[in-house]
Parts: sequence; structure tokens; C-alpha cells
Amino acid sequence: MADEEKDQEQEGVSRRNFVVAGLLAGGALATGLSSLPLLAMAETPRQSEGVIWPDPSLCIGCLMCEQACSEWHEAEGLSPLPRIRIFRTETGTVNPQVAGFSGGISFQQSPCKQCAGPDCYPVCPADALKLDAKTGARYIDEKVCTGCGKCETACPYPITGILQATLEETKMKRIWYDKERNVYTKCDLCRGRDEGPACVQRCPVNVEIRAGRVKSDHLCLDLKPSTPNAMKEIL
Amino acid sequence: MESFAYSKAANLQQALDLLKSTEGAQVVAGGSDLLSLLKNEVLTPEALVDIKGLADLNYIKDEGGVLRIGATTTLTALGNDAAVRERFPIIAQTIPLIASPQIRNQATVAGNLCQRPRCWYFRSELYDCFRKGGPTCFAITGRNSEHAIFGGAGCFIVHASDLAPVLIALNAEIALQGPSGKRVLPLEEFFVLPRMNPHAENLLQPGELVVEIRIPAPAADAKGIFVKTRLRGSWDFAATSVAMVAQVQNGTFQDVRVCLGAVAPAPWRSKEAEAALKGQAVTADVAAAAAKAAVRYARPMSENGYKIRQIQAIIKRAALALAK
Repeated sequence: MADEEKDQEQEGVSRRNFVVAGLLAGGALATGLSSLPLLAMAETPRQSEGVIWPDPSLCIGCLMCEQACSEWHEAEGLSPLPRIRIFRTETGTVNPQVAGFSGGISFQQSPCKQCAGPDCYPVCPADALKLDAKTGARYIDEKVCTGCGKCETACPYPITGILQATLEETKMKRIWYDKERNVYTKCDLCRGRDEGPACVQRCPVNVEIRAGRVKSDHLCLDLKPSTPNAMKEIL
Repeated sequence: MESFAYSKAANLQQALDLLKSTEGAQVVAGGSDLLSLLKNEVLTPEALVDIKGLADLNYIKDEGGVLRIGATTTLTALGNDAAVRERFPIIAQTIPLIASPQIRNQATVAGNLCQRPRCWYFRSELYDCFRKGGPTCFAITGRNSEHAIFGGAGCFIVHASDLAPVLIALNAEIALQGPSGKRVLPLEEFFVLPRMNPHAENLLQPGELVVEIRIPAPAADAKGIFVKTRLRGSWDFAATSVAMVAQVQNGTFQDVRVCLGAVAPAPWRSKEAEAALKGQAVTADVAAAAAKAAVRYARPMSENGYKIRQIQAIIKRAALALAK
């Protein structure tokens, strides 16, 4: 598929598109036409079909997910900041089958929850927050983002702890600022990547689970269908 | 081994010109690391530029108290130098612990700092590992007894240099020269972790050469020690190591720099251990507290938990030795 064609196919839907849809719906209502589905879409963006679903009990903190995420996005010409971050905790337990170490450390993965009603979505003054046409993933169009930070402020899911990559006490949201490029970025489920999200594909624990060397009925990082409660259930 | 073109540079400028004009050229000096990489076809450069023996890179000078070491100075020459032995006994003490006499006669200071990882997956042509541009780090769920307990991120190599932690503890700088000129940076900042670049161990750019190491004059009351553990007693790369340089007054550490080797993808400065030692009259309890602090954020893998115990043991040993 030509790049241009691919871009068009993947072109997301912005807040403005929804507002336009809402106005159309309103106009339709005024003329007595049945427009309920369209109206509903205008009020609430459609649910993302998928979400990265982590299981801290399987995470060994190797950070391959962060690296794979960076690598793929950078190759696509996007910010190289990882869209998933791993925090170190001393409260959880790692499955001994995969841990191979003791000492009371475990790791918490913190991807975007792809909220059903994303607070980041309506606040963007530049319409840089979009929905992927295929998956519904909420993503930031870096070509449009002005780096104002309203999306980060609006994100209701802070995460605090020691970031495993830097070993520094860190408080962050699920949206991150790339100061080199003056853009914000977040998990986009690796939109356009044929193999699906890079973190899910390349997580070494997932590789072990898929090969049957680690017994588990789910993956360390899984691409699961999103549910309205996903934001409550994901750490 | 794949074939390559070979050029012998007559001076530094010619070496830089050759590197600039030959895309993908690799520098060779002592060759003790490079040749095994070529033979295993981990590296397959089209050309080698030989800088061995260049007079403008082979020197040890004491200039205003700053010790300047040319890049191609051999490890043997460094260890035997009178000024080094007198003013930086920690270096003279470290050199005999590096490799073997034959290798030290051949290997250079810059080569030691720029050596590639010893990871068996990286060194084997059978594994397309993450560092070489492949999809994953095989050590994560594979054999990892000699891998990193700090600083790993998708790659868990350790930096094998013994000289690097010592020079970082001495607050050394490194001078690089390339197509865009010369730059000098703290040696500590020369090395990079995988989260910054998983495919390189340092900031050296294509066409750029290490030209010099500069060690500032140490304080009059500064003392240093290097302690290394290894799996094979005769000669071996470090399993763990620590370089500690401190200003000691009446048994109290006024200032201290602690750098760990072979535990992370880059020499690992332990600010935690430094904080636990600084301003303290170092007793066994203080040394133990520093050792414990140093491993506070260690992340062992399935086979290398022993490094946590070893690092603690050698930090205690080093601190108590300096306190005497």
C-alpha cells in the first residue's frame, strides 16, 4: 500500500470532526430525521477496541517494552519517548516461574488506559488528539500538537514511584512531554503496525509464554478488547 | 573473517582524513578486542585505519598537575610510568589486574575504554541480539550469570573495562576529535546506557577518535583503591569491581567517589554509596551501610544475584582499606 494511501486509511478522527458530527446531528434532529447513533457519537468518542493490559505479576522489569516502543515510533518519524513506562515497586510479587530473582521487588507497567470517555480528548485546543480510524485508539498527532500540555493536565491517572529506567522518584501521567520536539505523546497501540503493538510482540516474558516455557493463560502485556471498566481495572 | 581494506595512518590528521573519507571504517590500535570481533563477524567493516604507534597519540605528560595520557598508550606503559606510579597509585595497582601481560603490552588505554561487551550472545554470530539490531536480548530469559544488575533496559550487557571505573573515580575527562573538531567531556558522560542508545556503549561518533585522557591533580590527602572479583583467578574480566577515591582525614571521608564495574552496561557511579560514606568516620558499620545503599536499586536476573553480595563485599573491603 502506498504511504499516502496508508496515511489516509489510518487518518484519525479529531474532536473537531465530532463537533461537526454533533452539529450535523443537531441539524438532523431539527429536521425530524432519526439521528440518535450519530448524536451519541458526537457526545462520547467511540470506545477503543483494544487496550494494553499489563500483569505486574509477570513483569520482570527488563524494559524491552519501553525499548521496542521507542524504536518503532522513532522509525516512524515520531517522538522516541516510550509510551509505556515501568515503575519499580516493593509491594508486589513476581511469579517465581518468570522472576528468577528475589528481594521483594516487582514492577508496575503503566500504559494509557484508552479511557472510554477520555478526559485528554476534548481539552486539546489544536485538535491533535485523535481516534485511530481502525482501532479507536486515542493518539496524539505530533504534526499538530503544539506542546501546550492540556492533555497531560487532564489525564486523571497519575502514577508515582521509582521509574525503573532512571531509578528516580517520578510522578507522571499517561501522557508524556518530549521537550526535544515540543510535543506530547501517548500510547497509540502502535497504529499502522501490522504485527500489532511492539511491546506486546517483543516482551520476552510474552515470548516465553507463547512458546509454552512459562505457563500462563494470559500475557505479561496483552492487547485485550477494551471494556468500559478498563480504566478501573488496569493499574 | 571477511576481507577489508587496510590503511596505516602516518599521523593523527591523516587518521582523521582516512576515517572521514572511508565510510564504515573502523579504527584499530592494539586490536586485542577488535580482532575477535572481526573473527566472529560481529563487526564486518570494509576498512581498517591503523593508528597503532602514532607518536602524536602515544604519550604520558604531566602538565600543570593534569596527567595527559595519549589514546594509544599501552596499558603496560601506563602502569610502568613513574609519574603515574607516584601520583596515581590506584592506576598502577589496577593495571596488573587487567588481562594478561601479553595483552597489556598490546592493548591501549582508549581501546580498553572503548571495548565492546563480552556478552556471549553479543559475541556469537548465532544470535541476532538487540544490541546488534535484532529483536530481543537473549540474556533476559536465557543465561545471564555475567550480566547487568543495574541500568539494563532491553539489553543487559556489562561494561567490562577495569580502567573506566578507576578513571571515573579520579574524575577524568576524555578528549575526542572528529570531523567537526575536538570536544572534551567528563569520562563519566562518555558512556551511555541502553535507554539512551542500546546499540553503542559510548558517545563516539562515526569518524571520531579518542585522542586523550586527562586526569586532574588529586587532592593531597586523596587515596584510591580498586578491588576486582573474577571467576578465574589467573586472569579474567571482572565479575564485579569497585574503584573508590576518597579524601581521608583522620579516618573520616571528606569527599569520595565510588564507581562500580561489570555490573551495568556502563561504569556505574554509586551516588548512594558515596552519600553513605561522605563525612563519616568509616567503621565496619558505616562501610556495611554504604555497601547496602549501593545495591538499593539493583535488579538481579535469574543467575547473577551473586553480584549483589560480591559488590557489597568489595565496597566494604575498599572503604575499610582507605580508612586505615
